[in-house]
Amino acid sequence: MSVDAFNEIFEISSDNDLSEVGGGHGQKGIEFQKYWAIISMIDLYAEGEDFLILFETLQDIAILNSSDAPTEVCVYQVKKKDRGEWTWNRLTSLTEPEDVTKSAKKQKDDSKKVPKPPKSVFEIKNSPIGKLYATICAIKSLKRSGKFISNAGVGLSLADGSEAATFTSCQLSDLESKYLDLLNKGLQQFHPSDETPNLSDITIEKVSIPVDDPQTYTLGKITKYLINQSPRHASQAQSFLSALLTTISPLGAKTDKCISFDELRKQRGYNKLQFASALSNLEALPDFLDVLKIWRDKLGSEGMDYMALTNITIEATKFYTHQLTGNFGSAEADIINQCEDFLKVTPPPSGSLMPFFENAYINLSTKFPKISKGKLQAIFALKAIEHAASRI
Amino acid sequence: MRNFLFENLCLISQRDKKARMITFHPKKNLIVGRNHTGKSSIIKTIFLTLGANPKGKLEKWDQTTVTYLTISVDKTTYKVLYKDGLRALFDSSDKLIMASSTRTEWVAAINNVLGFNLILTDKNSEPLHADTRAFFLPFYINQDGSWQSSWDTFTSLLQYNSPVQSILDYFSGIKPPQYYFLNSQRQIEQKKLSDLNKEFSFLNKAKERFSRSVSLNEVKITALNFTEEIQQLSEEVAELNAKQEHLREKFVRENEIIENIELQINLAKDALKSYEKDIAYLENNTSSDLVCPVCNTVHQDNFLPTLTYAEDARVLQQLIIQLSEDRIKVKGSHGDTERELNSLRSNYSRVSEILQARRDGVRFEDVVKSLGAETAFEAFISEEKVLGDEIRMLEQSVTELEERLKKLTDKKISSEVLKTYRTAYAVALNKLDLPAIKTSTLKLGSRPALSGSGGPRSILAYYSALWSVCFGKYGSFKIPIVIDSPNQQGQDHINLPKVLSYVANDLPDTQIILSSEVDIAEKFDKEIRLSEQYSVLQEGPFELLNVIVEPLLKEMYKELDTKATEAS
Repeated sequence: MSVDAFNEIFEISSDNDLSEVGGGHGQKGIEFQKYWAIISMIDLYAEGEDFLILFETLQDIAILNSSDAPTEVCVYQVKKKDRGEWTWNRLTSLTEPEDVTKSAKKQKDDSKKVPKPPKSVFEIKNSPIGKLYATICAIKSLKRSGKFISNAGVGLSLADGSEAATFTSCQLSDLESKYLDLLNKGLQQFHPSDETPNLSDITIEKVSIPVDDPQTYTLGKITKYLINQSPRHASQAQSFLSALLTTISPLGAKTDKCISFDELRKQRGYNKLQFASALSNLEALPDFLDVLKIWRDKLGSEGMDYMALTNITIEATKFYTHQLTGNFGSAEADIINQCEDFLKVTPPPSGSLMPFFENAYINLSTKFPKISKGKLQAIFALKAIEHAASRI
Repeated sequence: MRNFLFENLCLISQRDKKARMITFHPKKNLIVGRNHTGKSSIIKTIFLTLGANPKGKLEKWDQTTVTYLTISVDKTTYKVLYKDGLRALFDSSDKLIMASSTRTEWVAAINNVLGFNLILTDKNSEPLHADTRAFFLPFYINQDGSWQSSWDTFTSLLQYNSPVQSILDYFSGIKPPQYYFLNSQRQIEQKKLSDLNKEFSFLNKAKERFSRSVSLNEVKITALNFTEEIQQLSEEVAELNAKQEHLREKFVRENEIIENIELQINLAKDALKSYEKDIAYLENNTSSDLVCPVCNTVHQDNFLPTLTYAEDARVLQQLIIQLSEDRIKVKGSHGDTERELNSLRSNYSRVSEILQARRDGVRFEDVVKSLGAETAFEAFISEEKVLGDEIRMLEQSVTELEERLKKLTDKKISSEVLKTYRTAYAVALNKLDLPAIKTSTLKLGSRPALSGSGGPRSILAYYSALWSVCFGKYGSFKIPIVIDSPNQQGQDHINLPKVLSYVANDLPDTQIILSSEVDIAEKFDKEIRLSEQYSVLQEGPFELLNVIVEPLLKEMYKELDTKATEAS
């Protein structure tokens, strides 16, 4: 079954008519999709759901409910909109249906205008809704659905008189009848004659991701998740997000033709196991800043003056600058090695820190008599904090 | 008593290629020969060589004759070379001590050898070192001047102002060498004393001027009235200084930290810019393997290295924020420190207030100033005391020297000397068959002026009396007695033998050189016989003696040339 599903997906992905996405993609649009994908991963993982996310394979994003044996797939069009709402025309490429609730006067005014010939309902196939629907119709081996995701709402009225824009999500089948008629007529082209379109297969969903700053929103989601699941690493949400982005960004950028689904999955897919592994990596990474803050406060309370504490921060900054640039001076490398040797024998205590620092200084000053006390203590503090952080 | 002897005389005429060497006995020497055989020439040459030019010309004498005289002073041998007014002094091994073409230099050198320190005065009453003329005057009876009533032994004695009495007092012990030594010391001390007195006078005047210009309170102010203020002032100043030192150190440290923070923030920001570029590169990287853009390490598992890299950047961003906060804090503290340093000025004004404190109408500041003036005044007093002590010491030294001089010139000594002299005189007169005279009033300088044949004998008696005191208890030198030709003085066949016998037997125990035209019955230790007239020098000894003196002459000339070059 899975093999059939994967093969089917692979074939659909190779069909340009079905895999081609609707609408232009600028950088902001790509960013929007990535952040939405990451949020989706977190939500799915938090719910315990298995998943395989495929980028730029079936429309913008396709999420299978399993990496190995999927039974369901949801195909997504993820579109950002800078201003306003989605109109009927933008969604469907169809002419706005007659508005029977227009006033007599409006009708009289409109009748004086040269009427535009209505678009053919077949035009829908070029629209986001049309393409989405065409793709899901092509999927036979899996339970399938489609979603149109955007930060902007849809400016269409629903059958119950309310506006779609006021809801987070609604199905196409919930739209006012004038829309349904046109949709059914337009989407029929994707069905054999004995079938009718199932408009409830397509959902329109509005998300809260801000177009101009999706990062902060996403960071908030990750932080919230980490606070609950791994509070010690909540402060490292930024790094986690950054690494995730770096990992998934290439997934949608590769244009090489794949020769199998496996290759496709490798090239454009990201699954639950990978996400779990990423979280494990995060949990194995100590939060240096957390321990630095604790130690600064503790040393300050034990009498270390604020200038010495500042020196520690200065040395830490210097160290991390070197980490990023890869430029370590040999003198500092020697001191660091000596600190690490000392810490192997004399790890940081849980109690008072000042005697530990004084002891370390005595040890280091005999080996580096020309280096100032401030510098030696600062570098030692740095390594001791790293040591302490790695053991939390 | 210093013992002076003539040992040897070499005469070399390089012109005539003739020479003669005469060796003297330490005791009695007789030079015998007829007229013009060179007896006087030999004797005169001795004194000429030593710088004392005797009266009387040398007949048919090569004026360029080189004389080489060996003398001894207390058994130390010296050699004197003379030619054409140039003299050189050598030690016993013919090593040159000095050479001179001037009188002053020669006198200083020979006086040093002889230990002769008599000071005479010239015509301008300026002190002058006595030379060998004065040294030998009482001991040489020159046939060409000494047998008369005046002291015509040597030429140009009139250069000195009445030298004879001083010379006789010197050798007789009335004013011996020690006197002149002490007198010289006294004069030095006196000069120092005079200089110190001048200095003291200047200091005194300066002190008076100072005390007039600085108003020192008549009522003595002490700091006791202001004990509390002094204590407070000391504490205040000590505290201020300590505080200032601490603040300056803190100021410098804070400044360094601010600079360091700013540097690290800038470096960190640059590193983060590079990071952003690297991350953008990684996001666009489509390779399945991750190649680290920093170290080119290939990572097959992308996530962890990327996460670590991102975490390093996150930490650095937070550290920048922390440092920025720290910078604000340090700058704040730095500003406080600066304000505190400035505020110290106001604290120093507190010190000024203390100084303005008053007690009994007197300001503390004035007391400090007054104390300062008093300190200066005390410095004057202290210096006065030091000078005063030095002056007193010198005065004492001068007094002691004067007392010692007084002792040396004690009337008792001079009485004793005169007594001895007068007694010896009387005895000599008797022995020389001269009528007795009243000797009780005779002075050392009472040279007889007897005419006739008795004259020379009276001169001999006089000299003999002088010699008795010169070589007596208070004498300082034993100098050879040289008597040139008593025969020439018109003594008859009765008196001449008495004279010669007297000379041979009755003179003091010292070296004697007697020249005589006739043989003498008395035994002499050394007889030098001269037979040829006008030919005291002979060809025979020339070669040998010339070889001896030639190199010595060269040395003398070389030394004189060197001196002349240095002087120019």
